[in-house]
Amino acid sequence: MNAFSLALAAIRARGLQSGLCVLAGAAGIALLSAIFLISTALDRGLARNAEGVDVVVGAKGSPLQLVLSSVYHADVPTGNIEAEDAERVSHNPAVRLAVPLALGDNYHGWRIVGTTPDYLAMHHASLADGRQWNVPFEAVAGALTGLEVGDEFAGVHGFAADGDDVHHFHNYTIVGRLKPTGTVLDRLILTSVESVQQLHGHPDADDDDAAEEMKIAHQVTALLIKVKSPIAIMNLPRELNRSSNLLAASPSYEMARLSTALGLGRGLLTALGAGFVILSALMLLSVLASSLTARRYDLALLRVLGASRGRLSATILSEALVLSLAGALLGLVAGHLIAFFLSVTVKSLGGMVLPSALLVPQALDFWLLVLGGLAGLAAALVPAISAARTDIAALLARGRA
Amino acid sequence: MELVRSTGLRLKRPGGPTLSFPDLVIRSGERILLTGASGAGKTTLLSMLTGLLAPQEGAVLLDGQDFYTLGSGARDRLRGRRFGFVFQTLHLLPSLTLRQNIALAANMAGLPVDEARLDGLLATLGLAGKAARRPDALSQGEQQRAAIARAVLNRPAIIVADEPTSALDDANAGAVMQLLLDQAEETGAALLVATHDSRILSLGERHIHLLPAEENAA
Repeated sequence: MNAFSLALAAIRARGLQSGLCVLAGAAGIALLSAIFLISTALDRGLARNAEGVDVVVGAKGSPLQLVLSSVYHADVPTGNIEAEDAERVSHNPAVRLAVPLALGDNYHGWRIVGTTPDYLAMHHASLADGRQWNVPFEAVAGALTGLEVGDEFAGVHGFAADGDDVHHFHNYTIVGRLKPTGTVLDRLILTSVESVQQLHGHPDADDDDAAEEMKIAHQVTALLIKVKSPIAIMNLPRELNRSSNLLAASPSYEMARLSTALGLGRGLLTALGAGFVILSALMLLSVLASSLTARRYDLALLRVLGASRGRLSATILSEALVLSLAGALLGLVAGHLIAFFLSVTVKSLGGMVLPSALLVPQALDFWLLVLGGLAGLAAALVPAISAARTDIAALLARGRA
Repeated sequence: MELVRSTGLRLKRPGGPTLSFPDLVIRSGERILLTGASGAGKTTLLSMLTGLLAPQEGAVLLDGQDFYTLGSGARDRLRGRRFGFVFQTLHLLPSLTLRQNIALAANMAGLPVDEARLDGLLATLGLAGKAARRPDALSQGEQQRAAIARAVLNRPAIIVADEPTSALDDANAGAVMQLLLDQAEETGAALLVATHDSRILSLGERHIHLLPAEENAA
């Protein structure tokens, strides 16, 4: 028997304590793993969704709100802008491509977005079924909406899934369904800008905000712009913000600001996970220390039989390493599963996080495994040294008395 | 053949008097009883003779070589190979099977396990059907026999037994001593037994009596 098999035997003999140590270690590593997986996937999702969008133009208000509402469809828009203003910006010499977005309605919480086919190209979207819209009130459904070609529905005003202001003027018909893109397109219903404008040009007679809705018939919500040269990413927003009643914002700049703000929460969660790992290391230390007291005769016996001090230390360290690595491995599996579960159950993560990617082993897993192992070894250091220093002769004398 | 020679051994344990020990020579096949009152230093002397406790003065020669000039690792290895141990309370590791417990003697001494010898010992000591059991499933007597099997597995030059019979009734005490004598005779090993058990005093060829600590103190 070597130090490793002796360690395994000792671990088996203290099944409950060993199991608790493994679970404590697993909890910390699972939390860290899930936090890192989700935050990394979110970062990638944010970048993927903003790909190809250099500047966003919309109504005056918060630049972050404009970016969140038009690029990530995660907030209410700052308002609408006149179609003529949007047209003028589209023809600005610095603009290579301008994609209009007309928001305002939803179906079961899935936002209905009036746009042009350029929006699909911008996100590299392709059809899984059917075709693109050709005329107003034809729509293409994102992969997560559950809508199928041929489905008909009436849009509901606003973004709340339980809204009761239904547009009875005209139903939408799904003519195409998109393949999953891993972007917000997956949870959108896309149609022409004209669909949204025409729908709001014919408000129901009993609508309180009929006048407001009539305005939308000549408005869009935002423009997603790709510029011709990198310098325009800085200059175009400056120019538009100074000389018009429009708001222009850079998604990359705004998301960097948001990321800094979110970083605090992420840091707190990471600290919590690290706390769990430290707690599990302390628990391991406690278990090893108490087991050492109970097993001092066993360890003394090994020394009497010829085991060196180093071998005794190696046995204790092996025990800690086996327990902490088992905990770390279990934690990694749990972390991936938790992240996957969150990605498929939290609706707002749809299109931002690719669930299947969360089940793929990451380089980070290796480092978390190393972290778990090192925490275990650190916890075992004092007990290992203590075991090596055991005064065998004194123990034999005491044991005999 | 001379196996162990100790000369001028003295040791002061923390909080206790300085103990002086008589010079000692142990030869192959000898049966020696080490007696003395509690606290006289029997276990201390055994520890010094077997390389577990360095004396403050004096020397221990094992096979003609000064035991304590060796490095710690070499001394541990040599102890595992040249000595076999039987104790009153230090018996078997509860997490291991009986077979694994006996094999530990070879494992810890860095020797290959002689499986045939191990099987033979299990059969001789009436433990053949219990090799896969853990110590808590064995009787006290079976555990004691397993400890003896472990002590003799490596065919040690000296079997050291520290109070092997103190906790046993008369029948078991006699059986254990007989087993130790038989095994020592079979392997040609010297047998050094520290005891204050009057029931076994007649079994030694030679007695070494340690004085109580107060009289022994220098």
